[in-house]
Amino acid sequence: MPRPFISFVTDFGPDGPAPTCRGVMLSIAPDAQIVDVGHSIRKYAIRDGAFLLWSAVPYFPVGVHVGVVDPGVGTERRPIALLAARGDRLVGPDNGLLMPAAERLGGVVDARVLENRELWLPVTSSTFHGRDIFSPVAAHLANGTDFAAVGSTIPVADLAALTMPTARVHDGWLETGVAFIDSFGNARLAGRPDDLAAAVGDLDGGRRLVVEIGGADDGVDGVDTVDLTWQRTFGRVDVGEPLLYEDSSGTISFADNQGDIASRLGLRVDQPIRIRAA
Amino acid sequence: MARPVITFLSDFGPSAPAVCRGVMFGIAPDANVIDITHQVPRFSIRDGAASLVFALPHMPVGVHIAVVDPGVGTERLPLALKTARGDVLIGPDNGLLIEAAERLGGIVEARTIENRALMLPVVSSSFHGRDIFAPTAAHLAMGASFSSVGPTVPIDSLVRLPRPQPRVADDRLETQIVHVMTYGNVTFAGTPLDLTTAVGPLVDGRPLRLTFGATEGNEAGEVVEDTVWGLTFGSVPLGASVLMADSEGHLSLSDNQGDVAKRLGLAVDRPVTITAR
Repeated sequence: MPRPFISFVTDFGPDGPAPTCRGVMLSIAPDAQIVDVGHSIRKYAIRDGAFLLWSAVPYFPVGVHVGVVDPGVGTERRPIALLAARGDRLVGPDNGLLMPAAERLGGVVDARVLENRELWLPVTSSTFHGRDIFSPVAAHLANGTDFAAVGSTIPVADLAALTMPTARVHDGWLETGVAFIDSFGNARLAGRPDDLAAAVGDLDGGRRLVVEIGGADDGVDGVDTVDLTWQRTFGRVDVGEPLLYEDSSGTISFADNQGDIASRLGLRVDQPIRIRAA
Repeated sequence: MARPVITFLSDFGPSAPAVCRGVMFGIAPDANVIDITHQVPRFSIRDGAASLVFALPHMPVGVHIAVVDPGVGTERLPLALKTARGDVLIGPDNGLLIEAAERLGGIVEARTIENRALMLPVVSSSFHGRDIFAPTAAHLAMGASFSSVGPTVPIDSLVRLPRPQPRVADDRLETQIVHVMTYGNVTFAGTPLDLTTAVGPLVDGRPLRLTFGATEGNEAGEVVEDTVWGLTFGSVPLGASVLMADSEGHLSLSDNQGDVAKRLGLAVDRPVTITAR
């Protein structure tokens, strides 16, 4: 049998808690191959965690994916496991964290609340479910424990969802927003190149566009305007110059070549963005 | 055979551990090496010891290396401790390993590492993590007998760290900060039982006052924080503080989705008095 695969993403930071969870998993599933997607997510930023997991899971083998960005730990928020159409199982809090990844793995076919204490550590705290509940349940699932054993089914429609900016096509401009800022400071926007093409016409390399940042509804006075071009990749513009491009996940992204556009322009998640033809 | 587990903690920072991992994999290619942390504050034996106590009870039985070793190359002994659970802890005799070993059932045998056949051929006087601890741990993980590392040392002669104890006084608990955790949560010496003895039953939402003593170099002097007892972070509004039992059963102060240590300027050793209000 191939080694069972577990991926693991948290806002714990690199030390202490995350390795402790690895130890719990390896105590139960000694042969598991554990891939750390990241533990340096901004603390409590559920959406950042959701985005990171969403970007990574298509490249993972079918397995168990544990996500813990869980500011509601110990409250009435439910601990859940999701079975995705591809066969993956996702384990974590019911706060929207797991949903984008589950959608990308074909959608949720079964959702269950974690109730079976036999799959947990013998003693559970009210502040560290990553260690006491999610890690042991994930390791048991990786070992082949039946998905149905984790607890009772809950309606998929009842699961907590994330609110994300969406793209809307207008005549001559695309209404979008900052969905995620990555470690280079590149801003991923809502929408795909097809949406932008529908709004402003063909996106040939070098197509001139205008990006408008902010607006009345984001509490920031004034609007920043950036003139730039649509390009295939960073190096098509001079160092320090901005560009729009299709990023590695197929969404529209906004970057400076070898720079940090988010810091330069003070970009924030959820900020409204408009893209117009120049 | 299951892959042998080696866990590894140090104050080396991010780069130096790779050399030690390389040494271990050279000897034990199938070992599963778990890095607990390498960001222990430099030379802080007590922070390293606290991180070990937090992590080791949840690790598989195995060999555990810990290196926070300001005395490297001096007469401090290199140690191997066998625990009742079957683990071996490897590191310097400076108190770093003791409390974690007790959490693993207690020390059943202590030996000083002297067997050069288990070390790298050349031993430096400043990097025993690489030259002594990593190779010895890897040999033990591969099945070398515990007694082969060197002669026994009496358990009661091992160096121990001072352990702060809470003091129950009239209507108050006097204690101190023993650890600042990730997220900025602050851990105190003592348990909810100690606090109950001092101030009476702890129910959700009970108002409490923490008075952090003035310390040298702290111009603000005394810091008073009014808080409540709670079950978890989300028991209080965003940004509010809460006193609770942390995941280890210690008294702990947190801000819900905030960093209380930063907000109040708290650090290890700061004395605190907890009273009702």
